[in-house]
Amino acid sequence: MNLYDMILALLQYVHINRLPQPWLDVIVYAIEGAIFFTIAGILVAFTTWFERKTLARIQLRYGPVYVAPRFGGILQPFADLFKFLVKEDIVPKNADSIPFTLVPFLLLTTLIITMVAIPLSDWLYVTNISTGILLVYAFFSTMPPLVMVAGWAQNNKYTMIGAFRAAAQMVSYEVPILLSVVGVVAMTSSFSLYDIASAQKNYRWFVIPQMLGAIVFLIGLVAETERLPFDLPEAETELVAGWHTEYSGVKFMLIYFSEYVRAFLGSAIAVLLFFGGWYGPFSHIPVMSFFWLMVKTYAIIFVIVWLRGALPRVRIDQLLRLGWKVLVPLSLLNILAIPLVVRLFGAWGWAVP
Amino acid sequence: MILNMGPQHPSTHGVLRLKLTIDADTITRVVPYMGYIHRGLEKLAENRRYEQFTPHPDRLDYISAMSWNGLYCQTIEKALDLHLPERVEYIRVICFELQRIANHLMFFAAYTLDLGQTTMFIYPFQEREWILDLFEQISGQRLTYNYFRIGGVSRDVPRDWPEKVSRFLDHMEKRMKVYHNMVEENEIFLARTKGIGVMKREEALRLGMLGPPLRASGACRDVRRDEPYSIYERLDFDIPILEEGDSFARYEIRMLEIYESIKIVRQALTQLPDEKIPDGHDLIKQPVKVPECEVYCRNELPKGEGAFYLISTGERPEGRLATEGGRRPYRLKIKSPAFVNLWFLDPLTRGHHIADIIPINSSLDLIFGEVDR
Repeated sequence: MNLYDMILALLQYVHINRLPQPWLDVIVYAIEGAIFFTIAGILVAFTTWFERKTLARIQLRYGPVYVAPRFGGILQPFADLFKFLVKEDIVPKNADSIPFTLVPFLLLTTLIITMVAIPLSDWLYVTNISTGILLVYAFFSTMPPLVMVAGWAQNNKYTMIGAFRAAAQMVSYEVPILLSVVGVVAMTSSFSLYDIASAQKNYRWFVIPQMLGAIVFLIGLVAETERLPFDLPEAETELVAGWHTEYSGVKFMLIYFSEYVRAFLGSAIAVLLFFGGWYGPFSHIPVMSFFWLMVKTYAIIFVIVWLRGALPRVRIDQLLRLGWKVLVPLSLLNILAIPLVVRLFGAWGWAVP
Repeated sequence: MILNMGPQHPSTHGVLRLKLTIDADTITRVVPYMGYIHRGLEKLAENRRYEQFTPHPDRLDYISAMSWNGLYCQTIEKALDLHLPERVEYIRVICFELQRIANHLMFFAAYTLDLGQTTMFIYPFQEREWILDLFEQISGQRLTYNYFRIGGVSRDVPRDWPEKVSRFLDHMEKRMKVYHNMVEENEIFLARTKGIGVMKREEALRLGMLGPPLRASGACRDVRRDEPYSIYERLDFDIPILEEGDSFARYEIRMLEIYESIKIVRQALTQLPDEKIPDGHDLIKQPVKVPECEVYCRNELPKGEGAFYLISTGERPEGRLATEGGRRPYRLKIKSPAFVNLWFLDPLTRGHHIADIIPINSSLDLIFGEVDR
């Protein structure tokens, strides 16, 4: 029983299941979209709080405490949201206002769309698309052009440099990220994230046979989501705020939101690919499977925040050198080792095509 | 392309504007524009009596206020040919060296922050806070202390203060290992700073670099040893010298100086004589009258060699404003080490990437209260 069936059953209960199938699908998917957008919103709000709190504890601070003080300031993201909504929305005089305004919306939309292919548990998913991971990458890779447009539209030298850096960084790190997944795809002979996660039942996590791929993927993930030590596009001591320097108010909020959506979805994909998806103790109970996926995702987000608390920023040439000269060869090596890995780990119960 | 960095920029925070001429990602020329917090302190000095000006040198370098305050008092004492009680000299040296530690911790914090490391920005503040607490106990202030008086200090240190200082030093020595591990074993930190902004010894001397950056380039210049003032000749300490002259060496030299400062304070604490010293309230009531003279007094401040050049016309009225019969200086020139080191931004950054301007700028440890005066 998945989300689609549940909603259908609900519609049957209120007797609107007599519509023709296409119309019914539209209604069901609209409800699913609303559910997933809400989940994304809540989880991302929680992620911002989680990051602020974790980083604060690493830095011997308290972090947010004032909004809902009994619960560690957990409502702070909502306070921030309302603050952003009442902020003045400034468009610079010489900026190209149409692309300037469009980019934040497009950015967030393309990211939310990827949730179509990302299952949040064995029942909580929109569809099981057979090209899942490729679709996610396709939407993720719309970001560099959007960033370039935004950087150009703001008519500011810092945003230009930031946009060039962001585009260079994302384009170079998409290659190792995609190559590092080939091993997992080969072991399950499917691109669907649902199938890949399902193949890791009984604690046969792909992180063990695909150790190299997992490492490359996680490093690439940090670079893709522009986190320290790879947050060059928005290196604040050099480029003020990088490509989104001139954004304020609601538009800035959307960009900020989309950064956390990326971080959250990226971590969730890492869990689905390498860390056993929603499988864990009692994961046959629907709530527990969702719980385990969240626990693992936030474990990865914790590592990302930890890196932010422990490392300084690299330089752009060092970053690109790492991407092309280290991560790409490593992921190619991982692909070369696929026959051996499949033969070896197939004998120990890992999924074999 | 010309890129204006600042004054409204996170790493030059409102006080400095750098005009960068860049070719793609390579810097070809850097022109610093300053004066954003110019307060006319030199002119102010001419309009104040000597004793009235004592709080103002604190505002030059607000990160190491004690040192400038002490230097000003020493300048006037040199002009008056005043000899201080032993205990005052010892208290001053302890304060100077604690201030040096606090300044270097602040440098360290700002340096790592500029490289994007926000955790290391917070950590040194714990120890700096401790030093501020110690200073608060003796002066009542936490940033601009105004503790020294011409001919003494505002009040004697509390009886348990030396004990507290030595407890702090024990703690500081332990913490230094933590900082060492967090930074010097961090690959990214090394990659960002090693070989960046190299200044060779001859070039540094020719262009007149000062302070820790000069010593990081391999030249042994330190006023505390070359021209000992106060009681420094009685104390046993080393002048750390490094040969590399890059941004990393400029960081490391300050860490080594913290160890030396700890050593100096320890010795001064054990030698601290127990005697009655003049009260600050009495000192401030006596009018300071400087005879006709020219005095140049220099100190090794945390940021390098700083100096006051005092011209007094004595009883003789001179200039547009009368000097009140020697109660005001005719001219008080402030020589700031940060001002001198600021001009090394251009030779150091030339040919480097835009990102490298950050470690280079921070490694010079510039403070604009002092540059703009």
